[in-house]
Amino acid sequence: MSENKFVTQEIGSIRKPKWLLTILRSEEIDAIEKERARDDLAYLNTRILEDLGLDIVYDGEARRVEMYEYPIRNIEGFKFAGLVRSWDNKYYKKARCIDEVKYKTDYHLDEFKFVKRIAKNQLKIPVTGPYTLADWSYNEYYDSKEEFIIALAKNVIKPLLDDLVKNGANIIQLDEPAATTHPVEMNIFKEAINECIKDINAKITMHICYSGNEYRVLMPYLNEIKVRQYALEFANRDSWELGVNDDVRKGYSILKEFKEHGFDGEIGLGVVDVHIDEVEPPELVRDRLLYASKFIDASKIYVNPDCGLRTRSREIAFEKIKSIVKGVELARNELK
Amino acid sequence: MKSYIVGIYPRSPKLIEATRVNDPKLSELFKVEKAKYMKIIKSKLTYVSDPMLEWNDMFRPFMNVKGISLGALNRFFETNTFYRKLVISDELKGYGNVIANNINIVKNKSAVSIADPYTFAELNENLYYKSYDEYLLTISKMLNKEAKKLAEEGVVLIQLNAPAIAYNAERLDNDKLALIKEAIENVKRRVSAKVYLHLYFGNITKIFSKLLDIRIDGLSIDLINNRGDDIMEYSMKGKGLTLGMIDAMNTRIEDLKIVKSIEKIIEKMNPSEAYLSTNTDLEFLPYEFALKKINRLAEIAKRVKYE
Repeated sequence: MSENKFVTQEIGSIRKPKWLLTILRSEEIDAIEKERARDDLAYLNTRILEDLGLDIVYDGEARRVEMYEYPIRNIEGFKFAGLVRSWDNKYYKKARCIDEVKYKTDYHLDEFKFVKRIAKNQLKIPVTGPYTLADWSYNEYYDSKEEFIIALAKNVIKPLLDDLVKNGANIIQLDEPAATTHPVEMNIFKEAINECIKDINAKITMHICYSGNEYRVLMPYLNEIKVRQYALEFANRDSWELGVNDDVRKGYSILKEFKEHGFDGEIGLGVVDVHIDEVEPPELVRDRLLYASKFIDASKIYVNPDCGLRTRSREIAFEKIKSIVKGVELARNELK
Repeated sequence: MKSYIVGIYPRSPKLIEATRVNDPKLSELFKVEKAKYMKIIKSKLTYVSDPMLEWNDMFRPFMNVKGISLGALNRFFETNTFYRKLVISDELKGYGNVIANNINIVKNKSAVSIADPYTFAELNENLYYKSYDEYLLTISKMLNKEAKKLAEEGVVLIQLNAPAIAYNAERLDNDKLALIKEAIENVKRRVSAKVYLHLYFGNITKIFSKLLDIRIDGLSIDLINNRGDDIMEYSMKGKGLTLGMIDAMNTRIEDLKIVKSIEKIIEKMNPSEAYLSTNTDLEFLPYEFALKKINRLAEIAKRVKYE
């Protein structure tokens, strides 16, 4: 790692290139060739992220269909029900839980071993958390949602994390975009996360995004949930004006509350918006970091996009990452 | 027992794919799929509803009203579905046909849902009207004009979808409730169709007596998430009641045994008329399961002993 201030990292997904989709959809290409094509993309993504200068990398989720559908396919007890609207013409495949959930295969292990073999930099593997898997599914089997979530935490995610750690994973990011959508369920959420990371000998981080309430419902639980880092989105709520005062950095003002709640862990700071094509200039990234460092010690600020960048074209995604790396350099210089 | 299901229905996989690839025959396909749904609904339920397949969310057609523009994506309450917030930045003008122009109406047989004025106001953004009261009451007047037009076209039941009232029920004070009452009564003013207020996404026990005082034709209640035990202590005071007892948020198909619970609720609350419906729009289910729910709702409604 280049410095211990403003360590850079990705969050997860990068859009799959057309050539891969063509290969995967082809009926003439066999499964072995398709797997090789996935290997190629995993290799390419990892290398690109390293070459762009990120300190902590992964493979852009090159092998995964999507953060919900991919794990659900590999967990016993689920059956896909069909497509449900996310927004406008965007849909996701939603599953029904119709039987006891069981860990049937270490569904991220092969990809992890591959990336571990080829990567030069430190790795962080994203894993969809138990709460989101439950919240995005129909529960037809368990008597309560709580029982469903805890079963996923204990019987599926914990063994998966155990297997990853046994095979060398030392940073694991739990993706929990649903975390704060049901304020009355925050206790269940806490219990589920603590249950699945109990005795896991690795650094556990958590990514939450687009919760709609700026994480306020998370505040009382910040220290009770035993993760080391919260990687969150901020940039989409911030202005594009340069500066480090409250007026222009309104997207980051919630950081004051993290401090007020006695949070002393790490923050993964989202500094670029993944829902727009305009690329944030490095100076804007710099100012967002300098503002954040007023409330969180710079050594505890990790720097990332708001969310996975697969919402943007690969070209724009990589431009945004370049801007992050350059902005970090500017911010480090300012703090020297 | 009479029945209906209003609101946005899910698109079929074929239609979803056509929207994804922007099929040149898309508008034709929308018509065909809409007709298919309406045929099913007509054969199974008392009232016919347009499945609103083109509607991307419950507010979207209002983006064409003068003074309104389309804003950012926002989560729809605690669901995993998002809507685009409307931004009101000028005086509202040019409304009255927005809903009627965006649905098919079967004369004297149709039921339709529209947002209640409070939900409309809360979920969208006002940059123009000086006070919240003015904003809310202006929206209520706009929705009144919409409702009048729907009734003129032959709609017999208008359901005002009010998730924001139910969601915020614990936090609404008497002043706010009085303002909401005024706004809802504005929508009903000189509208010949029945107007029902549909309450879902929250527990309404605390405000139920106030809701009964609103001068409209009936209340529709999500009885899946709002168990209804406390509400059952109330008499409906001459109002109609729609029982949202078919769960549109879960694929689990209801047991026919719920017939007994329905009969019990009707007996205890003694409404002037009663309907069976879903607890929310069907759009939270995939297409195949929405069809199953329509069938099950019709089957249960047929078994309930109530005229």
